[in-house]
Amino acid sequence: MKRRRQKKYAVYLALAGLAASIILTIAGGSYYIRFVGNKEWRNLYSTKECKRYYVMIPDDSESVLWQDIYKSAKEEAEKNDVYVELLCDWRSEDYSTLSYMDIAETSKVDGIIVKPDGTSKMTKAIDQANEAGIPVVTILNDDTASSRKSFVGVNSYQMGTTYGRQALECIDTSTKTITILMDSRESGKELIFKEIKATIQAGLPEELKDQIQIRLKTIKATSTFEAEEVIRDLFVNPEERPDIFICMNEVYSECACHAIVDYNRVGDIAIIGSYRSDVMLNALRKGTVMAAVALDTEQMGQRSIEALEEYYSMGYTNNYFSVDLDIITSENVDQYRKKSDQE
Amino acid sequence: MEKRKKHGLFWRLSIQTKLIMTFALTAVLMFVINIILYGEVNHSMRSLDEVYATNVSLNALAECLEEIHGNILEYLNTKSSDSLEDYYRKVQSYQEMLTNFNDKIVANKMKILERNICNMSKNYLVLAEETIQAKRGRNVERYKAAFAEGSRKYQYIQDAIYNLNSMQFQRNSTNYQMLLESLGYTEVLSSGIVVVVAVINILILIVLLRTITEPLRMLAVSANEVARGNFDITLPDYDSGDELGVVTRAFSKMIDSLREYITKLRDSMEKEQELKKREFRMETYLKDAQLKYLQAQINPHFLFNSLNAGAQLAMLEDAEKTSIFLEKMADFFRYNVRKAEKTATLLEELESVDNYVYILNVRFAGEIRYEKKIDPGVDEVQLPRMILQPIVENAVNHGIRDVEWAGQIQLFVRHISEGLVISVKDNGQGMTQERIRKVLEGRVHENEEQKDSTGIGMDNVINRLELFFGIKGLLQIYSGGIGKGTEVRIMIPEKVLAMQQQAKEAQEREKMQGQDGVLQ
Repeated sequence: MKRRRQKKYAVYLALAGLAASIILTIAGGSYYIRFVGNKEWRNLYSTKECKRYYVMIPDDSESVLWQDIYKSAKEEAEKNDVYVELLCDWRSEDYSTLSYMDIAETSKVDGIIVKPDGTSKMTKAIDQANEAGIPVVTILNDDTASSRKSFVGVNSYQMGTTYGRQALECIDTSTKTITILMDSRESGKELIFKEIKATIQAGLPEELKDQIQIRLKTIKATSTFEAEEVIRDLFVNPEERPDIFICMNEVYSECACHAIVDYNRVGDIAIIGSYRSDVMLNALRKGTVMAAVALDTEQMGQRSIEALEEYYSMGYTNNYFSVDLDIITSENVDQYRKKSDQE
Repeated sequence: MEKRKKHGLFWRLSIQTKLIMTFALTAVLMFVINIILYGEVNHSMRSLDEVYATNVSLNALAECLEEIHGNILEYLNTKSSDSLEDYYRKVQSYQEMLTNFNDKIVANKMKILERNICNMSKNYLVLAEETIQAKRGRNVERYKAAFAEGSRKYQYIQDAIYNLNSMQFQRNSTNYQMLLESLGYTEVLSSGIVVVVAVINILILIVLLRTITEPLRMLAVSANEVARGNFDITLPDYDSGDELGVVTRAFSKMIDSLREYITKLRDSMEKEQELKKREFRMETYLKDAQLKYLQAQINPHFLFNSLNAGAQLAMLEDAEKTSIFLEKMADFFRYNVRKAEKTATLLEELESVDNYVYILNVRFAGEIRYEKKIDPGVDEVQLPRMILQPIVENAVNHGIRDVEWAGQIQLFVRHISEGLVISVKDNGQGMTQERIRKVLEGRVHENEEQKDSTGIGMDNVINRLELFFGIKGLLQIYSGGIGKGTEVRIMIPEKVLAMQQQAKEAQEREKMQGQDGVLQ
């Protein structure tokens, strides 16, 4: 009798197991099909409505700098129920920043975050957007002549001083040439150069003052691959080869990193780079690069959104949002690496 | 039990229904699973279709825009009313198409692009209208500028559509990838489910079949027990409503009725046996009575006592021959009346025959020649009393009495390997074979011709021999025919002799032991 009852329970148990396994597999399958997948894919199906729509127009969408800035901006935007889009890479033909400004304006966005190229057309485009009721926030470079609502970044004075100080650290008795590589579109390039020069000269010992030449080299960003060629030339040509090489741009820094290794000049040339890309951090750790000056991209992204939000809530906003400059050397490189790994 | 009856609806069903239900359940489950899985796949397919549909509509939009722009260009070039008409028609359909587009700010790259396309298109259409109006107003400067700007916007929109298209294509690819993955997953899943369901199905079947076979096995065990004759078995407790329950109950009933039947049979057999026993005992009594009766026929007390008196008298009168005769007579009859003892030794029997022959010879003046030849060591052989004398008497009365030649009777006792042979042979009238058969079958009644006899016929002798030894055919009669004499032969088998010897030895041992006991 007992055995029969056990058998009966066994049958019920088996049936229950069957039902449970089926339900589990179906539920699991549905879950897998509907929800598991990459974020990008899920993002394509999002139907969340936002109150405002901003665009961020980078000058180089591929760079880690811009990716980092956009990432932080996006996070900040999500907090404020705003959608921010990195407006770039339309079709194969290269649209200029100006075209994207035009597209943004025509698309009637609620705000534009842009790095101006320092041209008068850009100033005009900013003004035009402003007239159309679209607030513009400039980042990295300022366009003081335009009617932009705010600037988020480092001012040229601060930047020049920082680089200058780093150059002073590297100067010794054999130092003869210091070359500063800059983008021709960099709005305050003269100011920055002046400031670097002033800082170096002020810090130089008397005996070296006449010995050291400080040169400015600008590269036209519009011509593709030019930076790389110019940097290689600098390394190859003994007359132009600097003792201290200051790269004011992420791409230049990376090019210099590769070139110094390729031409076996590690130790001869001191590189002061920009930004904390993985390549830079590795180079810093190995000692290929003496120091790197990095903008706090997190602050930058965050504050650019803050500026627009402030404008919308108050009707006005701060003219200038300052962003910190970090100096990375071989001593503190590990903590940046960790940060980078975490991200 | 009560509980089970309340709950076990399933258990009350017939085996057939149970099996069908199990299979049906499995089939339904498989069906449902498949439906759900295919539903999932269809869902994915539909979403893919939708996206392709949007791709198609995007292409239509792009084409429409291209035509609008072409119409404007044509109008600017030729100012043809056809192109203007076309332009208005296309603008109409373009605007209709735009209504399907998202115009809200949604945190979705594609949706936002749709919104941008919407906004840019509106801007473009305003510019297009402006261009047309300027052309109508022949304001060359204005329409050139407006057209240039419109063309720029047109390019933006085309690019935006292209971007949206490629995004959708990318999404479709992802979707397709997902669909492929989910199809693969579905394949694995359904295979897995099929396996799981099959395993569980087998388990259910095993359990179910065991519920069927187990009672059958128990029934078989019970049946074997019954076959061995054990009816006091407890049947497996199986009261299910299926065929097995029916079989179990029928088996139980069968055992009950078998048990009852066997009890009845046993009772009647016992009664029958009792009857047989009584019958056998009665038979024994009957035989005993018969023996006693036969012995009672030869009980001449009176004659015996008188003869003794006569012998004494003859002695007194010095009639020695008479005295011996009377003494022999007395001995003969004394032997006869010792009826309490059923058995006698061969020696006693032979003495009795001697006496009888002596008496006859006195009576018939020595007419009978009597010859005796006895093997040694046979004196103590036991046999029924009054066997040899009637045979000799028969040989005298029926054999040699009325013959004209000198009558002779020979008595031999021989011990051969088969046993002891006692032969009484006369040279008298002889017998026909028919007569011999009649005598042996006991169909000749002595009283027919009972003259001058001791009263014991052959049939009596034969019966008593049979009763005594328990063997038939010990006595045989041989004759050469009429006038050729007769031989009556008794054969006591060796095994009987051996048994008698053993019994005798045992008796003697007991006697010796008894004596030893007394001595001690």
